[in-house]
Amino acid sequence: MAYQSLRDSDAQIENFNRANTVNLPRQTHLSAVLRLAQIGSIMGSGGLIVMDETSCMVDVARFFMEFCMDESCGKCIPCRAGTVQMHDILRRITTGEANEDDLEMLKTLSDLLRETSLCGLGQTAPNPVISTLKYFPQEYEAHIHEKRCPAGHCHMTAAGQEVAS
Amino acid sequence: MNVNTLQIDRKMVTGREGDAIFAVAWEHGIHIPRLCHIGGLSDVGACRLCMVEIEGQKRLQASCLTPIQEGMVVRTDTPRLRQHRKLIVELLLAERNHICSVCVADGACELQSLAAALGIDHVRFRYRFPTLPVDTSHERFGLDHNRCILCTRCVRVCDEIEGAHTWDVCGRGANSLIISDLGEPWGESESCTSCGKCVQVCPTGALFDKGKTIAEMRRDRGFLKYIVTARKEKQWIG
Ligand code: SF4
Ligand code: SF4
Ligand code: SF4
Repeated sequence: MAYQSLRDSDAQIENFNRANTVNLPRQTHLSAVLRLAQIGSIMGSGGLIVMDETSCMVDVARFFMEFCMDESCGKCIPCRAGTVQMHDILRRITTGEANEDDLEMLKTLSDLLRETSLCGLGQTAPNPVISTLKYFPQEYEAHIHEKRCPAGHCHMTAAGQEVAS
Repeated sequence: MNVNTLQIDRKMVTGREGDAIFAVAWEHGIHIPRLCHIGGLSDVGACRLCMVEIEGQKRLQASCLTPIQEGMVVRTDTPRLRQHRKLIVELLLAERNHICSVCVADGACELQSLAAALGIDHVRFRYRFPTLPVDTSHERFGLDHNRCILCTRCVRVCDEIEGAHTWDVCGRGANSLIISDLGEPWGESESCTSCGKCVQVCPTGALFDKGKTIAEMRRDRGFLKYIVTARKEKQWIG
């Protein structure tokens, strides 16, 4: 059974950092690959989600924002009201109703929540948006400019189609 | 009494050790914006409008909760802070219903004047406009949740100064709501003494005197200083 040596997996992490995708040989031991801090991630409560090309990264970001919006305690304004507006923008991207300004606002709000929220929930709420924007910008652009979901997951509404035409 | 010297917006200032940056700045004429803070009540650091930059620190700090330190260099009005403050106020204006032209507090509202001071002439967010109730069950006062920004000044003044603790917050996130007692209508509250303190400290048109119509609601905040100094320093100042 092929088991990756540490040296090999180091090389893979290097490749990951450069390309942000990694093709692993079958049966690679996860612990050898996932040195999370090195690839800019955190483990949190220990959950790990595996996705492939049928997951829409915008919808993934929307899903996590919905979670943060529901979990926000509501004490500070950036988190209480900011997660609501970020979720609304992400939802409109997935239905094809968003434009370039919305994308800009999404980035602006990400900075606001990260820098001004009172606790870790609001401060980290934009993380899925920031990393999907960094690693999968073409998915956002396809939704906004071509009204198309590359993963084939999102259904563009009539309102969205109108914006496109 | 120990005194600390520090720099706020290129101005050398001094303050008592342990004082918050916010208080020292205001004493020296540097008016950092705020909505949840009000002098005389405890601070909660909830509105995030008073956040400042401190040299040598990557993170912004809420100035109402950050004590001064000897040699500190603070900036209260940078482009980055201004952008954040503008967004926070816009978020509030979109969160509930703020049609100033039909509001009791029009012309004397802290949210409205802050929006004007920050140069907000439009809101870049979709208005949420949830339909929230207006509690007019109290004999003398009313609470319009549609204008409430959840600053919790009413909660704190009622608890800390009046000692009744009629108000609190129920729910969470965007569904948070100020409630009296355990959700009973204000007029049926057994703890409320009808002192009216909450109405005087509310920054917006949420709490109002009954009978006041559009732009008629004006507030008297003098009582806070009067009571607080009387308690702390055993002095009755007018
Ligand atoms: S509470 Fe203030 S901002 Fe809101 S509608 Fe009334 S005057 Fe305008
Ligand atoms: S009127 Fe006085 S006692 Fe009643 S809720 Fe307001 S602050 Fe509390
Ligand atoms: S009712 Fe007024 S004082 Fe109370 S939380 Fe709402 S805005 Fe603040």
